[in-house]
Amino acid sequence: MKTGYVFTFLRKHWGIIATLVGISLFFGLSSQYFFTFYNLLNILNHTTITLILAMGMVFVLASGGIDLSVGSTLGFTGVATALILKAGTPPLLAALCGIGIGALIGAVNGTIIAKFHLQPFIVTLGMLSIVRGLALVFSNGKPIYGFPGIFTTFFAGHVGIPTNIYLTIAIVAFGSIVANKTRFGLYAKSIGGSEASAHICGVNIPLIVILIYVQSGIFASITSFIYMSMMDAAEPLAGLLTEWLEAIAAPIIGGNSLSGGIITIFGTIIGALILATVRSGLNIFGVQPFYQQLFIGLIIIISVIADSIRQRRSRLSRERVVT
Amino acid sequence: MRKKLLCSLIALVLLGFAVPIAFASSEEKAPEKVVGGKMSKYLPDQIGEIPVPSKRWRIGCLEKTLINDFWLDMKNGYEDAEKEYGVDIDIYAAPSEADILIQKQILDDMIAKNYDLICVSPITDTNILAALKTATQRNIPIINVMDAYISPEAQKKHGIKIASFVTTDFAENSRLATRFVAEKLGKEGGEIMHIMGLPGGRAAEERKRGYLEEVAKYPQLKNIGVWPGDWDRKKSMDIAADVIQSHPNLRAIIGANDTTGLGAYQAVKNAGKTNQILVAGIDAIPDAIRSVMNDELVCTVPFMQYQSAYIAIESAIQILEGKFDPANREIWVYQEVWHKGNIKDKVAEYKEQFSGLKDF
Amino acid sequence: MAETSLLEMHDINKSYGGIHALKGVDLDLRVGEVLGLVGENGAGKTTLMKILCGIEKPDSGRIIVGGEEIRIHNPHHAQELGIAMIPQELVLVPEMTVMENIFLGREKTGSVRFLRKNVMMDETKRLLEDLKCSYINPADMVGFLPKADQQLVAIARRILQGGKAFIMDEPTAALTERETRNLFEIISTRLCASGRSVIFISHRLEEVLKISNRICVLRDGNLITVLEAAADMDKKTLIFHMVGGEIKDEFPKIEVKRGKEVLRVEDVTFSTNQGGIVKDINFSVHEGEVVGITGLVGVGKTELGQTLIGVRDLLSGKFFIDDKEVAINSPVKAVELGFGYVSEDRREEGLVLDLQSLHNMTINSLDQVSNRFVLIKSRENKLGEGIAKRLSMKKEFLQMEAQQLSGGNQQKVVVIRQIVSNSRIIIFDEPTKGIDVAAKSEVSRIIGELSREMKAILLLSSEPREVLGISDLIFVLSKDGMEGPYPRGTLDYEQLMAIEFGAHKKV
Repeated sequence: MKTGYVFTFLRKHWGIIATLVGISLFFGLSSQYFFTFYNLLNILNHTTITLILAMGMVFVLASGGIDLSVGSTLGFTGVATALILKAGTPPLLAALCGIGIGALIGAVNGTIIAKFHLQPFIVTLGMLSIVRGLALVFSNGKPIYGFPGIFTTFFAGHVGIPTNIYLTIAIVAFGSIVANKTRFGLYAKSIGGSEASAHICGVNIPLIVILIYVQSGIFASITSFIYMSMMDAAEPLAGLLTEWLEAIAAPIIGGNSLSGGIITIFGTIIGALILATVRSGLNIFGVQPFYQQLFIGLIIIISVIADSIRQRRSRLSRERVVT
Repeated sequence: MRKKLLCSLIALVLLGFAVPIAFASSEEKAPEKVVGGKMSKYLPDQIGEIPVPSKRWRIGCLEKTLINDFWLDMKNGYEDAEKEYGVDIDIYAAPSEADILIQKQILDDMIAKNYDLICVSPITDTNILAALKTATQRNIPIINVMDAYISPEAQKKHGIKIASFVTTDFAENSRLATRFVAEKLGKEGGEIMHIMGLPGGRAAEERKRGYLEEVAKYPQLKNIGVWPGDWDRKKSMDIAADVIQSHPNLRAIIGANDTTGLGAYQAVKNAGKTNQILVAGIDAIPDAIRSVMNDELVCTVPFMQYQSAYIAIESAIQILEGKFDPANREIWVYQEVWHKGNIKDKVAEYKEQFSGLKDF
Repeated sequence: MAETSLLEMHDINKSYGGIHALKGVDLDLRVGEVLGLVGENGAGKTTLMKILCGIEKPDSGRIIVGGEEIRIHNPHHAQELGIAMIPQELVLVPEMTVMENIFLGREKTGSVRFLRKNVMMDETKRLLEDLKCSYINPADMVGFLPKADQQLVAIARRILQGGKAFIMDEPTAALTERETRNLFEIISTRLCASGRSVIFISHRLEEVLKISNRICVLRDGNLITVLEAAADMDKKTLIFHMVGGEIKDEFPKIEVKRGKEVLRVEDVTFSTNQGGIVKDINFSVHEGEVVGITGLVGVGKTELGQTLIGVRDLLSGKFFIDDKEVAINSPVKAVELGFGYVSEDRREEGLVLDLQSLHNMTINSLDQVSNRFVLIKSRENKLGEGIAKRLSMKKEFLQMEAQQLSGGNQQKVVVIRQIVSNSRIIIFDEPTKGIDVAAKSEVSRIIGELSREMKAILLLSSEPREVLGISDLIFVLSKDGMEGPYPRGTLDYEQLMAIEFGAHKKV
């Protein structure tokens, strides 16, 4: 039974595990600097921001939606939290305020999507712009500097390894529990898999959808704390593009589907690691930044193609001949 | 599930220790024979002699981005110095100037490569502080080349050691332009104004400072104000048009850069006051150079990105060879005014340093 | 009433836009019985069931559940009342496991609100065991199960939700004989024996006869009869009641002398949407000939059309055009070969709703109304005038935007498009579905016009009268394969129905 479980697990994920190992081996063999403790830690460190955002995104994707506004939410909650901190608010309270703001943005997203039956793509695209605008307005377009040491140490300090790695592990564990152990996780999947089915089984679809986006907003605000602690500044332009793009790409690479119904936390972790590894490896390899963009894009497209093939295959097997 | 993750991570790490052993000490190259020690190409008086590198030093250079001529010129500066002095240089850059986190991550990765020295042009004052701290902890000397400036206070707060700061002085840009205009106006003097860039940005604020400082030196000049043109041609034109209306005796406009200056000149031309009002620009972009040649803009002051990069490498070699003069912790690149009288010669002289001059 | 009724429907009326779908229908479902519901396509079965499930609201009539008169607000309300619909297209979450699907909305959680998977797993196992299908692994993903097992999962879910009246719409459409037998056993020994009731809707009359305690026959929105005991029920009687005898001449036929063979299909095999396979189809179509292929809904007619125009994969077999073998692997190729296709779903596929009907008519044949680069208005108008004259239509009709037209007129536009185009072989899939009687005969007249132009026409229709009315040759597709050809005039309506429902021995 136990070995059977390991076997099915490996069979489900062998593709991306092999990809990660392959990429790592390639870079490791090409450069002596790749497999060093420092660099491997670097990769983990770089994974954190993508991964926390992705923990919100997997549930959004599972429900058949998409949240393009997480990058802007990251920028704005950072700016807002920074202003609250600068006003002399205790760090813990300021962080809670920041989380509240993130949750509020998510709630607006979710409410509009659920109540007006609008495309998540359009709604969150609009929100992307609105929230970025707020970030620029509140910050006057300039970074905000100078936070209490306890804040930055908590979110991007160093206790053996960077503290944001501990935080990420905690959040990923949380996400994994929510996905596998709670009704919320199941309902998120059921909405994306077959909204009709969720509906006739009495799932409160609007509530779940709102909560999904609230969760995404909360994770975005936690990410912003790490971000501003890493930079020692709250940048109104934080999370402009790459961050949220990778937050969507990592789950997709990991086997979550754009059309919903699936949550794989493990896959998402590997997806984020693949992205960070490729970035780091290409840097160490000395590849020009323009080509790096190209590589990352290729990986994303290949995994989306893999996703569509996967879907087609499962659809075929569903239509499997019975006569 | 978490257990699996842990297992695979451990496997990865183990693999990581196995491979470098196989590859250790494979990449050390013997120092090549290089040309003898020579004087600094652009700042011989200040920097002095550049020693012959004792080995092929590996230097990593991190730019903001590579998407416009400015940063490409800088890349050329690095690479020409690489050829000249016989060191190994790798150039890195973030995809765009908005990728502040990516730039930090790239620097993290560069540190993993154990460069002998790293040159950085940070996108913001703070975005790469954390990585620079790691570099300092790992005893990698850092040269801050242009733009965002890691101040001594910030260095102290974050435990960072910047060996040298090489830059073109923004304030000096506008000082030179203002001085040239002042001399052109002579004893008569008159009303003068400045259209600044986007307020808050370092370049804009510094150039405003330089302008104000220089204007104060000439009693015959009357500063009627500084307006924000946000680096925008149209906005600068509108501002200039308004001021020309309200100040009929205006004699000169100092633009915060060429775009601003060209906008202002358009307003002057529309008002038919090209004989009365002098307009100066800064940066020497091709449009402005043509304009100076046509006797429209009175002058422009080129920004020395190429030389900054070149000089950064010269300093790097001095630092690595232990021949660095601590007095050179801040190096201001030499700059000069290009005007109708000298612009043809200057264009010919600097053709190699500015991609924008190729068409002349 | 002697036996206790689980639910009763009295005097149900429902009309859509002036067409009476249900006229005073009464129905009662007794505890522990299987009530068969039969009728030809469009007789009102689906509407009646939609009303019972709260999807549609009746114009008038009463519904009584458990002795109380009730208004059913929505599907969820119906479910709470114990009315458990198991639709033909199963509503399950394919990406989730059997257990998750069964418990969806009714998960068991522990004290910290974590899911108690073990408890649910055990209960699922017990439930499946009860349904005699313990071979289904509760941890398997539903999407990967065969259709029959998915159906059992859907039934299990309904049982868990407290379903009392199970409505099964064509439950056996995708099942093998063995699976069907298994399902019947579950219905009689598991559902009915425990006091649950089943409304069994099917086109397979022998199955209805076998499983049902009583059978309701609907025709044209009327309840024709309820056949009580097994003794007076046989297929012939059923079909007699379903058909009702009289046939109206709604489908005028234009006689054309046929020309040479255009299309020949040999041993073609393809799969259906329901997951079945249709094997070894053979027929040919000549110039000026209308070949009608009929059969019940879901038997594979649409899929045959899709296979012919390259939308669906050809599993085996050959196509010949002008006696030359051709490969049709994409719709583009099909158009090149001279195929024209009028789909069942004109709004989705056929029409550009924002365009004028004239533009919609010429959209397939722009080379006729343009030079290389631009459309020539006058040519287009001239073409339109010609059509209007020939088909005696009003000119204003051509200027209207397609979305302003009624369904029947929209359909006319799509059909006329084929007159304009250069297609030689035209496939019509349910050309008169969902349009009123007048429009129906209008559309079949236009199809006749097409055959006059010596186009080869393949008519795929589940409307027996239409097929009988305008086809030169008739094939009947059923789950046993394709029968025919029956030349025009050799079949009457009852015979055709008998073949469709499989009550007929091969001639």
